[in-house]
Amino acid sequence: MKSLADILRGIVDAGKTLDEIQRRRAVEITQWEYDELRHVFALLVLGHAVGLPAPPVEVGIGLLPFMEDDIHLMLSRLDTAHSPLSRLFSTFPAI
Amino acid sequence: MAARLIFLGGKGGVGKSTISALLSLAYARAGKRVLLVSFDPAHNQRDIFQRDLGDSPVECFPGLRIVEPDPKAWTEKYLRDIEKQMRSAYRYLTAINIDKYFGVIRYSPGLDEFAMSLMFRTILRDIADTDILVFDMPPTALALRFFAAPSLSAVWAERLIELRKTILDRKQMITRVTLGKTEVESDRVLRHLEHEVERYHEQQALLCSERSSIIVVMNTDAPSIREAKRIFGELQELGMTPRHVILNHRVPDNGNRTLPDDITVALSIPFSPTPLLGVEALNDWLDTHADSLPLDRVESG
Repeated sequence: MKSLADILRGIVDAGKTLDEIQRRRAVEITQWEYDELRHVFALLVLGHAVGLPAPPVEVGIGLLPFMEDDIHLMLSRLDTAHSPLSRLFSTFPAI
Repeated sequence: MAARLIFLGGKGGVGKSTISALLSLAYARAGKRVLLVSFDPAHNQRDIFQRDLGDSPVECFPGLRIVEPDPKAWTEKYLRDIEKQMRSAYRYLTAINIDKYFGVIRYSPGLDEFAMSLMFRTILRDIADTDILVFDMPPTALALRFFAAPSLSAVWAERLIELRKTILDRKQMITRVTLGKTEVESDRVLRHLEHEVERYHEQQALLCSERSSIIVVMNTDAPSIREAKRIFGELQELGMTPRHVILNHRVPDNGNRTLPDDITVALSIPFSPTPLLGVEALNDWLDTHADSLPLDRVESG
């Protein structure tokens, strides 16, 4: 028969596991939000390349030398643009 | 003492370039060191002064230098510089078709006023030996876009800064949870935007300051008067107040014209029966009509 200490340890471990899961889930969702915000930023700055309203030329062009990662993110999004739902469902947990 | 900036704007064909030339020459004759800058793509100053003008200032009269920068060449040079920076900074260059991207940018709307801003900033860097800068502005639409550019760019850049800060905040949240500590990272995009916003505000403040005078040139015809009124309205929305109206009589005045009450004409330039071409002709005009262009009234506002 398990002692009270074992039971308590089990509860604490379960709590830790739950905390770990929740943290991971929170990070995944924040990561998704982070990627989306970066994508929005890239689209705002580089919108003129894809026909979107863009900032004044001197704002957009001046940023180009610092936008390598953002441009890559935008280009990788173009590759997955045909399946937005699969991206969404891979981020959020199944109900 | 910081150089004064005088911008001459107005409807196309009202005589901005001729008034700019006369005003610049009048200042030079009064002993001031003047730089006349032609921002008008029509580049009339080379015809008026009958000299070959370009990016480097040319002295056309003692104390008067003239520059006619080529906006296209400036834009090309800037784009080449950016392209060079991208090629040296980007790690995965082959994945991005930069040539194709710049091919699109070269035809972007807004490049004309961008080129003007670029030329304006560069010219202001090297005016230690200049008392007065006279800007012969392009016709109204482009001139207004130039005046609006700093405030418009500042609004965009400030919104982008807000978004960038939110992005960096999310990034910090992720590192805090995954690594258990906050890593404060310097973001080059944010740094660049903050620097640019400061510069836009400085340019806007300069254009609205006492150092700058915007003078509207108009003729006696109704379209020219209506456009002068529009310029006043639009500049006031940007926080700038044109200092004067100069009425340029391009045709002999038959005396039937009446100007509206809400426009006060500071100076009236009489009709010249002979074309004002060449320094000699401009000097002759100033000798004969010294009272028509009193510099103290131009300065006083």
